[in-house]
Amino acid sequence: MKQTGKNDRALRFLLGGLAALGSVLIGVVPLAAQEIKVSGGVIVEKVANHPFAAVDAKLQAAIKGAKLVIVGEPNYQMMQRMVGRERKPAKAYFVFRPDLGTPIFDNDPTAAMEVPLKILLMERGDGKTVIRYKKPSSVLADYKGLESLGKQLDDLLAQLTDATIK
Amino acid sequence: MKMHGVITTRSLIALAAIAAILGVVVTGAWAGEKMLPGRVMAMSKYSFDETVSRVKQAIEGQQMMVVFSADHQAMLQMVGLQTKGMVGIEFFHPRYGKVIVENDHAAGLEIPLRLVIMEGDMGTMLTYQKPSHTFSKYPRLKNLGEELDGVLATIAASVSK
Repeated sequence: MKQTGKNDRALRFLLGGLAALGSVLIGVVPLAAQEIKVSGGVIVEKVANHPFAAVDAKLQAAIKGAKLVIVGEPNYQMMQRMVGRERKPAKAYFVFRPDLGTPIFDNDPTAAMEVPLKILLMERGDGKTVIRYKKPSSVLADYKGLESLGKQLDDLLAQLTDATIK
Repeated sequence: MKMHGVITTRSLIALAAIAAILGVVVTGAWAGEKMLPGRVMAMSKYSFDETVSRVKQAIEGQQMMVVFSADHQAMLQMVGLQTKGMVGIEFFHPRYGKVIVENDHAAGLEIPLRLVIMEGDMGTMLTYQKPSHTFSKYPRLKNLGEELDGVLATIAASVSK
C-alpha cells in the first residue's frame, strides 16, 4: 500500500509537470495560429473567433500600441466592388516604424522592397476573422545583416496579432 | 545627421549603371550572386523626382492605380538620418484582384505590387520583384504573373536608359 501511495504521488507529479508544460507551450504558440511554409518565406496565419469589425478595431489599437505607423490601408472589399464583385470584408495594413528602417539602410538598402510590412485581415465563410502576414525573419533572410531585425519584427508582429485575436 | 549606407547604395547603383551602359535591365538571373531571385533593377535616365512622377504616370497608363506611396527618405529623417530620395510605390487594379480572389485568395498577401525608386550618387534606380516570381508559389496564378511581368516591364521602360 505504501508503494502504491508513492506511485500515485509520482504519477500526480508527472501529470502536474506535463500539465504545466502544456500550459506553457499553449502560451507560447496560440492554438489558433499556424505557420505555413511557402517558397520564399513563411506565412503566419491566426484566426480570431470574433467578427471582422471587432478584430479590425483591436488590430488598429495593437498597431498603435506598438508605435507602428500605418503607411497604407487598402480596403480589398471596396476595390472588388469597383469591378462588380461582392466579397466578404478584407483589408490590409501596411505598417512600419522609422527607427526600424535604420538597420535596413545601414546593412542592405535593397531590403526597402520588403517594407512597410503588410498585415492582411479578412472575414472567413464561418464568420471568423483571419489575420495573415509574412514572417519578417523569413522575408529578410536573404538580405545582408538583417537577421536581428527579422527576429525583432517577428516578435513585434507576434505580440500585436496575439493581442488582436484574444 | 549622418549619411548611412552610401557605399552599399553606390555599389547597387553602379551595378545597375553597368547594366544601363550595356543596354540591359538587370535581373536576378543575369546578375547572379548579388541579386535576389526574380529581382529586377534598372537605371533611370531621369532625376529622382521626375522618375517618381513618370513612373506614377506609367502606372496609370497601364490602367493601374497607385494605392499609396511610402516615403522612406521622410521616415528615415524622422529618426535623424539624412538620405537621398527613396520611395516605395504600391499599385494594382481590382480587375487583377478579381483573378486572385477567384483562383487563390491566399495570394492576397502579394498585392498591391511594389516598386522602389532609389536615388544614389550615380543616378536614380528602380527596382521590383518580377510578378511571375512573386506568384510562382500560387500555381493557378501563373498566367497572371506572366501578364503582370509585361506590365511592370513597360512601366520600367518608361524611365529606363
